[in-house]
Amino acid sequence: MKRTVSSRARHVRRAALMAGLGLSACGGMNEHDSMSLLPPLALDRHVVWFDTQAEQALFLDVGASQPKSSVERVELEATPRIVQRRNASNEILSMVVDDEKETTELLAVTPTGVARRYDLETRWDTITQSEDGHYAIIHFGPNSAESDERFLINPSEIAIVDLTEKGESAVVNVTLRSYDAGPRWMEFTPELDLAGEKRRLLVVVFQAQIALLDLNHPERPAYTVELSESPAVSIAKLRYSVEENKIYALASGSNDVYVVPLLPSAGGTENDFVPSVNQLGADAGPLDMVPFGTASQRRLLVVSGSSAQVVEASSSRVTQIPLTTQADHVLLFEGTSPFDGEVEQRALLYSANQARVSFLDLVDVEERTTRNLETLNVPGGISQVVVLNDNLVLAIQPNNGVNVLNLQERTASPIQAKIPLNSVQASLKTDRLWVSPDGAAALGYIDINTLHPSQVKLDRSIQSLLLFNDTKPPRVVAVHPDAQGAMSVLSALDPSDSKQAVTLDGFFFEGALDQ
Amino acid sequence: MDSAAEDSSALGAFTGDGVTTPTGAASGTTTTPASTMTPLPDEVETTFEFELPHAGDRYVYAVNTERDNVAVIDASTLAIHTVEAGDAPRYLQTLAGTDAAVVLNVASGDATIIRSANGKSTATTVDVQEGTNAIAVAPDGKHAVVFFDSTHSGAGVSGSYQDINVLFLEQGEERAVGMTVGFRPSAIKFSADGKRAFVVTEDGVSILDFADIDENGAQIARNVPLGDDATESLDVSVTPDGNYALARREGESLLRLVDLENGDLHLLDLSDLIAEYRPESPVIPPPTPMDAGVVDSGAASDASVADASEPVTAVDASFVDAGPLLDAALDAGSTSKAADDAGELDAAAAALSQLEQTLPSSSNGLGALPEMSSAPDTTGDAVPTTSITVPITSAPGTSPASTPAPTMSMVATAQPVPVVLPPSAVTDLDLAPSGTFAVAVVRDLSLVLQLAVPGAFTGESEVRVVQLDDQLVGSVTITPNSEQALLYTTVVATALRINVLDIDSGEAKPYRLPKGVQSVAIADDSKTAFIVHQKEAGDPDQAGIDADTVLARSYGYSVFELGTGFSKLQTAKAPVGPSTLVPDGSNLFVLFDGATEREVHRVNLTSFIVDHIALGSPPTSVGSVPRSKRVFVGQDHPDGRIAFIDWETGDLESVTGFELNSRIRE
Repeated sequence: MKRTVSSRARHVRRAALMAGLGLSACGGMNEHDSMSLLPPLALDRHVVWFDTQAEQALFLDVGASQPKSSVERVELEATPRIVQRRNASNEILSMVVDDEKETTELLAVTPTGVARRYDLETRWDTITQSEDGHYAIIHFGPNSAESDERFLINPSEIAIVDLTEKGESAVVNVTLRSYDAGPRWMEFTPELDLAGEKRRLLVVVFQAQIALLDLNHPERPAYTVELSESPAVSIAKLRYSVEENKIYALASGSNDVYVVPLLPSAGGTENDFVPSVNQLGADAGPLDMVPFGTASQRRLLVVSGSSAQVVEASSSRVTQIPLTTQADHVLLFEGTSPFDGEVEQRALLYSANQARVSFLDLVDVEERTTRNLETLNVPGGISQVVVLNDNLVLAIQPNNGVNVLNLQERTASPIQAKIPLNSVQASLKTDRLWVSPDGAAALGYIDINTLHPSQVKLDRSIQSLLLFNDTKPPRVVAVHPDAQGAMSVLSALDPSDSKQAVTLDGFFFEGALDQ
Repeated sequence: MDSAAEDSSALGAFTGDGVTTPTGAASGTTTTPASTMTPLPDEVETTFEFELPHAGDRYVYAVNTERDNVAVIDASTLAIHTVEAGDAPRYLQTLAGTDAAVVLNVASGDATIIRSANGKSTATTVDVQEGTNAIAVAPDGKHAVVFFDSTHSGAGVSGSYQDINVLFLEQGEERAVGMTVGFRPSAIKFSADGKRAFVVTEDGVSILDFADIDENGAQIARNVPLGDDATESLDVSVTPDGNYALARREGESLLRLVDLENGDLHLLDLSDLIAEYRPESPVIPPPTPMDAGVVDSGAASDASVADASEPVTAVDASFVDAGPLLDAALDAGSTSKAADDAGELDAAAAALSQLEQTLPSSSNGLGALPEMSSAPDTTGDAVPTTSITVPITSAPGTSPASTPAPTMSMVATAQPVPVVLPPSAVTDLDLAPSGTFAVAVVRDLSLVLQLAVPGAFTGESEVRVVQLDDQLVGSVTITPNSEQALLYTTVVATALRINVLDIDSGEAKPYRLPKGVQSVAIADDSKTAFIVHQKEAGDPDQAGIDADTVLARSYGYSVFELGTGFSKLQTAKAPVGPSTLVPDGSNLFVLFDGATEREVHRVNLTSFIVDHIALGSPPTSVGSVPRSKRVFVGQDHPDGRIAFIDWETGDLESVTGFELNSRIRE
């Protein structure tokens, strides 16, 4: 399939050349453009584009010591609609459609060709993958009914694709029980040991219900668990406790934390496990939560604005801890503290737009309550948190700045920025934070260890910033807006080293005339 | 009343013949302070249910009256399903170790019989009498009797006072048969084989023979009267073979045994026997006119509390009067703390304590009763059954400054006058689980009477009498194996003793307890007793009080080993709530619902170690679910909450929201 160019694709490329160079090659091109590219992806050592016009995937190798300005093309034989990297794998997943044949497929695409094709019964519009890349759930998004041109869709239809398998058996179509407007989102549990068998469950979230589907046995019926009969209740967050085989849920419109224990079935069910529901009274409007503790004494830390609660799910006992600063997010970490050299479970409690955060030591917290609490000023407040290594947290300020929080030292190091830092990317392998300001011909980066900020000038503005941590050396690629194809390939270890920097141009059409 | 009196007279002669007096027992000179001063309150008999009715073998049943269904919770998996009942199901009872239950639907006037297996339940409905609110299930689970218990009906709720239903529960052949019984049924007893039920009514005992009812249908149940005067307030027991019913009325010394086959009624009036153990009327000096004036108002009060059948003279009243003391004790701000909020028990105890201060040698909690050393208590030496004499004519030791007690210095100038003592009544009667004997207790004289059934009532056997000289015992609990009995009192918080009576030998061994007894229950293996203690009024956390006061003011219970007399006290911040003993006897679970303590105590009955298991909401009920080796703890929660505790490991799992759980679908 590799480089097997169809007559239609060849025609398109030649037409593009005839039309002249310099057209935008971004995904937003109109139907008169020569190429219609979806945003590029990073795949190990390749930058990958999907061309919806040419029905091709284009791979450019940036892992070589001297990257070449040329792309490898893989024919898809259908129009790509959705593309995403398969998790923990060297493949790209692409859902492709053929309007003439009225077929929909999920493709596993590699630089060498299409590795597998999975036939799908319905033209879904969303792919949700498991973290390990084992499963892909193909389904409708929450707004599909509004955007889809078809006048009949069933939002509760899904396809479960086992990406480790080939053929028809790899796809199982399931129609879930419908609630309200259908599924809102889907999650995968971590691997659980249920009834003596390790497995993951698919969790489909409706308004106030969740459906549980055994991915080891997708042919078995799904459980549907209703968390509330109230129409005002809407599930907001799910958390999983592997040690307890429990799912925790928070919902807006409810003061309770819901717990769904998953227990071995004692018979009478097609599944070999059964869920149940517990309601744990927390406080007015619990906003975030995290399970913590040991396997034998598992508890839940909940934050709800002005207070935190420690909930013992087994007994439903709740310990209230008043907070001196508001918190609507909780981040669990293990580490020392300035007052305690023991590596223990602790939590960072924070809230957007608050200039203070709280640290809560979780050992003996039910007895010590506020004595385990300490607050820290974070200049500029927090709008977003990015977890780094070594108990470092990047706390992005709402207004052009960032704080690096050292969770063990309980310090906040501010870094000023003249640009919004919402698009910051962290590379733990290179200990760097990367910033590509919109429209600017420059790339910023911060050394996580020294907090030293730097920047490097580029010739053109950055359309996409891609990190390649596994190439040698690790590289950062700035894709520029150029219809012919243009990018800057820099060393991620020393971006300012011009000797290691390579600029590639015109690779979309490199060699096209030869074909 | 007349016939009872005649019978009593006739039995009096028999009683005299049948009395055996243990070696060393004296007669004619024994008395106790209580008998001459102020009658103590009735013994408090608290019924303990080691097994609450809502647990089956594997499933727990929870009624949802508003939704007309019953939640069935699998204790192994915590999976819940619901089964539809009738209109407004309310009263539920499980069937004898099975996963089946009967629930009474109060609005639709019927009963739903639920059977559960493999995560599913089926329901069968049979019509019953309107207003039915009580269920009694036969030990074999094949039959149940449902009736209107007027003592448990709420305001505006009524039912038939004589119509009941017998439920035939064989699967697939469920039906209800109406029966007419005596007036106002209050309790149902069953024969051990489950073939007959005995309905305790104000007319006597109505007998339900299930085979006969099955064959002949609705009818009037044969009624066996318990005596012409026996209309109400009778405490009735039935022997396991269903041959006899034993009854007594509170405050009397007349016992009744009726042959349920032929209706023969045997009355045993123990008054003559008891009288033999009474001391001779003490000779006491009358008060001076000044004394009489001092105690006059209290004298009237005291006369009223003494037995009205006894002639009470002015002299009697003035001398035996404890009214002023009692009044003072109950008066707020007096030297006693009884007037706070202790209620009847504490008030009585405090009053007794005050009274005892007027007696000589009053160094222990029981006033004039001799102090027992702690060492003999724990070694379990047999109680000497000799009588003691309390020299109540002696001058009092000290009298509280604020209490206008009679003073002996005032009466010393008057002529001695004999005192007429009130009659002593049986304060408790317990039929042995074997049904072969009963034990009666007379607190006034610390008498323990062992009565063979039916021999003691028919003249074929003697009554064995044990008098515990320096003990105050008014209650008795016989072990399930019928080999021992625990003797104690529930009315005096400072009575820190419990006696273990060996039924065969008649020997009683006293053991010291750290706190007074409120109630006692004995494990099925007859080895361990669960003793709930009394609490004195006041805050145990009050600053400045001594350790003994802290202990006295604390709630608590003891686990008591009958074989050795060893006991372990566990104090608590909240009153002792419902409890359950697991079927293998390994652990006892006790609930506590306090402002700061909502928890379960898991008491290991081998080590007596107590695990504290915290709960998220107030516990209300507890019971064992044998199949899963778990204990369920029902809790007060608007959506329904039950915790399950592994009785071997103490691991806890809760399930909340029965209705939501019932709507989990596969």
